[in-house]
Amino acid sequence: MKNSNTVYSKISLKTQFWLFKKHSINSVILFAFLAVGMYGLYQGFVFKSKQIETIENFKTEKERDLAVLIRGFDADTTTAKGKEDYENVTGLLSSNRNITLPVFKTPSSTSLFCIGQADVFPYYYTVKVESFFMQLFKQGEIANPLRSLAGHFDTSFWIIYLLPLLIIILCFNSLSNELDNGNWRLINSQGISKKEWLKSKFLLVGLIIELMVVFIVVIGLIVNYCCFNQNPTINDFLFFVGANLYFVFWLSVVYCINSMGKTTSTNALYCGIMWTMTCIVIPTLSTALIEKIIPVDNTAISRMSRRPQGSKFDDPTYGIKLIKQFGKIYPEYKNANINPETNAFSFAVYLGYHRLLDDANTVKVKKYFENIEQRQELINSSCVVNPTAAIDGIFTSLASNDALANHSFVWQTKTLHDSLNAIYYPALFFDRTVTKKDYDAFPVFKYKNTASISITILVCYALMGLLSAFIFAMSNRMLRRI
Amino acid sequence: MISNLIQNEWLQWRRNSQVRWLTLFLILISLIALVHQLSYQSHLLDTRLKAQEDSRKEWLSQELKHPHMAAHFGNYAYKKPTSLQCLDPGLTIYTGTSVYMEPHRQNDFLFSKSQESDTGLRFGWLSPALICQLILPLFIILFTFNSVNGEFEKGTLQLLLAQGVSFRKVLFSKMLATFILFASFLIPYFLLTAILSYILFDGDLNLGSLLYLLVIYSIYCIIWCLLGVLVSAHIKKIGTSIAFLLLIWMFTNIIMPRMSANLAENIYPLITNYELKKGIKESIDNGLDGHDPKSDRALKIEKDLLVKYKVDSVQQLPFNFEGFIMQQSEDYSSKAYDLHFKKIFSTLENQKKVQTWMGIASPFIVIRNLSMSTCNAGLESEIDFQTQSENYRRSFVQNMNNDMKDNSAYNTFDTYRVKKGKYNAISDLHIENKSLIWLLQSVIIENIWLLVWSISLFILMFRSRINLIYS
Repeated sequence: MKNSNTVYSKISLKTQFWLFKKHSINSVILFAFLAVGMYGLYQGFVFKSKQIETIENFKTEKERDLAVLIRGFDADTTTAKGKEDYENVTGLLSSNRNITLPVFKTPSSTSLFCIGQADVFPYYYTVKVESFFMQLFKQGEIANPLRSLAGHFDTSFWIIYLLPLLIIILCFNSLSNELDNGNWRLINSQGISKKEWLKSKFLLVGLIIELMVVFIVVIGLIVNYCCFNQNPTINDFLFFVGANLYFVFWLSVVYCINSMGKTTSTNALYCGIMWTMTCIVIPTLSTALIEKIIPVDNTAISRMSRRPQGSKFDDPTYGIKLIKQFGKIYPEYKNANINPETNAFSFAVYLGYHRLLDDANTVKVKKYFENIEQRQELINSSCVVNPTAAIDGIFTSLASNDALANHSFVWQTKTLHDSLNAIYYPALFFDRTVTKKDYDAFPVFKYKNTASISITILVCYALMGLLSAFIFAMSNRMLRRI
Repeated sequence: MISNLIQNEWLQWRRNSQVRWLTLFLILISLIALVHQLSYQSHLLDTRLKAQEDSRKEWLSQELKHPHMAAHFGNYAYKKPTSLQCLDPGLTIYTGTSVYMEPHRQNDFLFSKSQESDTGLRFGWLSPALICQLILPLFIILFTFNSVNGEFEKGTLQLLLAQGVSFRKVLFSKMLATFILFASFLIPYFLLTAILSYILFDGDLNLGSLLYLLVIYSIYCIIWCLLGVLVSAHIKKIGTSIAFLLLIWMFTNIIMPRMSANLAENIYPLITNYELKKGIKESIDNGLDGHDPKSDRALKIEKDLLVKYKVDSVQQLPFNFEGFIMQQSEDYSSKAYDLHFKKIFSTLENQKKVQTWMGIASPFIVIRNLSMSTCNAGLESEIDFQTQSENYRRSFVQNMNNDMKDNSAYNTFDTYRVKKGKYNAISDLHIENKSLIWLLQSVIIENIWLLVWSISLFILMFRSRINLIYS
C-alpha cells in the first residue's frame, strides 16, 4: 500500500508539473515574483551600500582630525600657531573640546536581506569626554518618514508579504478548480486521491518557491562577498531556515483551506481573509496591545541632552564635596590633588558631575531600553498566534537591525566612552596635561555584532515547524472526510 | 426600481450569516482601533503637555546668569498631538517628537515612536485611518465580488433584465447599495471619533477639516464599491473575480505604496546626518559661497563697526561687541542651516511628489496623503513644526544675545548676570497649526486623482453592456 501511494504521488507530481507548465500565466507570475525578489535585494543593497559608504567617510574624517590634533605634540611652540596646536592637544579644556572618537555600527551580512529598523536608528556617533547621554541624545539620523510609513521593499518584505501571496495565487483552487470543472472524476478514475493530488501540487509549488528563495539568498550571499567582503554567517543560514519555515507555514494554511472542500470563490475568500488577518490585522493588533502592556515614556530621557551648568561649579565648597563623593565611587581618584583656586579644579568638578550624572542616568536609560526590548521579545516569541510579525521580528533581529541591536551599539559606545574617560580623567584629577602616551592609549571602536542564535529564535522556529505539521495533519484528516 | 434593487441587495445580506459576522468583525476592529488611538493620543497629550510645562519651569527657575549661558541652558520643543490625529496620526509616528533648542546649532528631532516600538509597527499603526484606508476596501470587496456574476450564476440577473431593468441600472444599484451600507458605517464612525477627540482635546476640533475628511473618505469608498461591482460584472467566474479583486487590493494598498516610497528614495536620495553636518560646518567655516572664511567675516564686521561708529577699538562701541558678534555668528549659522535644511526638505518634497504621481495607480496612496495632510500629520505639517521650533530657537537666542549686547560691558562674561524677569520675558513656545486651506495646497494633485479615479470608474460603469460581457 505504501509503495503504491509513492508511485501515485510520483505520477501526480509529474502530472502537476506538466499541468503547471501548460498554463503560461504561471511562468509569467513566477518570473514577475522573481523579478520583484531581485528588486527587494537591490533595495537592501542600496541601503547597505549607503550605510557602509557613510561609515567609511565618517571614520576617515574623524581619524584624520584626530591625527591632525596629535601632530600638535610635535608643533614648534616658539610660533603662535605651534603654541596653539600644542595647547589644543595637551590642554585639559581644549583637548576636551577637540578629542572626538568615531564609533559606528557596521551592517551585518544579513542586513542585505532585511533593513528592519535600521532607518530609524543612528549607526554612527561621535564620542567626546563629557557626559555620554548628553551627547547621545543629541545625535540622530535624518528620518525619512515617508519611507518609514510605507515600509521597505526588501527581501524580507518579499518573503513575508509576497511569497504567501504567490502560494495563494498558485494553490488556492488546487482542488476546487478540478471539482468545479468536473475534471476530478477523470483524475480520481486514475486512482489518485484528493490527498495525493493536493500533496503533489503543494510539493511542486513548495519546490518552486524553495528554488526561488535559494536563488535570491545565494545571489545575496555572492553580493555580500563580492561587494562588502562579508562571508556567509550563521545568521544568514538562520534567515534562510526562517524563510523556509514561513513559506511551509503558508503552504500548510492554503493546503488546509483547500482540504475544506469548498468552492473556488470560498477558497479565495478564505485565503484573502487569512492573508489580511495574518499580515495586517493580527500584527497591528498585537503591537497595539503590547503598547498598552508595556508603556514607554521618553520625556525624562529626552532632557538628558541638556548641558549641566550653574554657579555651583565655581563654588569651592561644592567642588570639594563633589570630588570627595566622586572619589568614594571611583577610588582611583580618591587622592585627587587639584588646587581649588585653579581653573582645572572647577573643570574637574564639572566633568566629575558629568560622570556622576551619567551613572544616575544609566539606570533610567537601561529601564527605558529594557521596556522597548521587552516589546520586541514579546513580538518575537508570539510565533504561534502572530507568525508574520514574529518572523519579521526574528529577521530584523538576525540582521542586527532591531532596537536590541541598537541598544547594544549604544552600550558598546558607552564602554568606549568609559575607556576614554579612564584615560582623560587621571590627567584632569591629578592636574597634569594630556600626554602623547594618553593619546596612544585611546580606545579604538570595534563593533561587536551581538545578534546570535537565541533560544527565542530556536523555539519560535520549532513551534512554527510544529504548527505547520499540525495544520497539514489536521487538513489530511479533513480531506478523508470530504 | 433602483430603490427596490437596493432593498433586495440589503435583504440578501441580512439573510447571509457570513455577512453578519463580517459586519460584526468590522465594527469590533474599528472600535478597538478607535479606543487604541484615543488612549494613545490622550497619553501623548498628557505627557507632552507636562514635558513642555516642565521644560518651561526649568527655564524660568534657572539661576540668574550670563544671558549666553542662560541661552545654553536651552529649551525643549515637544510635538503636541492635534485632535484630528485621533483619526489619522500619519507621519507623526515616524518623526522625532522632541528637540533640544540651544545656541549655535539646530539639533535633531529625536525619539520617534518608531524607535520605541517593536518591529510589528512596520505592519501599520492601528488607527481609524488604517481601518478606513486599508481594511474597509477589503470588506467592500467581500460584499461586492459576487454581486453581479453571482446573480448571473443564479439566473436572477437574466430575470431582472427580462423585466426591463437596464444593466447599467443594476450595476448602479449594486454600487449604491454597497456605498450606502458602508457610508452608514463611515459617518457614525467619523462622528464618534470627532466627538471623542473633541472631548479629549477640550473643544479643539476643526469642523471644516472633519467635513472634508468625510467627503474624501466617501469618495474613496465609492471608488472601491465601483471597482468591486465592475470586476464582478466583467468577470464571469466568481472565483476569478474575488482573486482579481484581492490582487488589486494587495497591489494598490500594499505593494504600490512601498514601491513608490522606495522608488522615490532611489530617485531623490536623502543625505545622511553626517553629510548634513559636514556641509553646514563647511558653510559656516568657509562661507555660504565657500569663499568667505569665518575669521575674515569677523574681522570685516569689526572693521565696519569701527568705521561706522568712528571709534578705534571695539571697547569704545556704544554696545557690547561680544554680544553683537555672537548674534552675527548666530545669523550666519542660521543662514547655513537654512541652506542645507532647505535641500533636505526639498528632497522630501520631491519624494512625496513621486509618490503623489504614482497615486494614479493606487487610490490608497491618494487617500493616505489627503487624510494625513488634513489631520496635520503630513510632510508639510512636519516641516512647518520644525520651522516654527527653529524660529523660536533663533528668537530666544537672539533675545539673550541682544541682552548681552545692550546691557553688559565688554569682557564681563564672568560677572554680568541677566536682570530678574528676563527669563519670563521670553515667551513660551507656541506652535500654531495651519489652516485647512494651507494644508490642502500641498495635496491638490491628490484631490484631482481622487476625482479622476471615481469619474473614470463611473464612466466605465455607465459604458458597461451586458451583451459584451456575458455574450
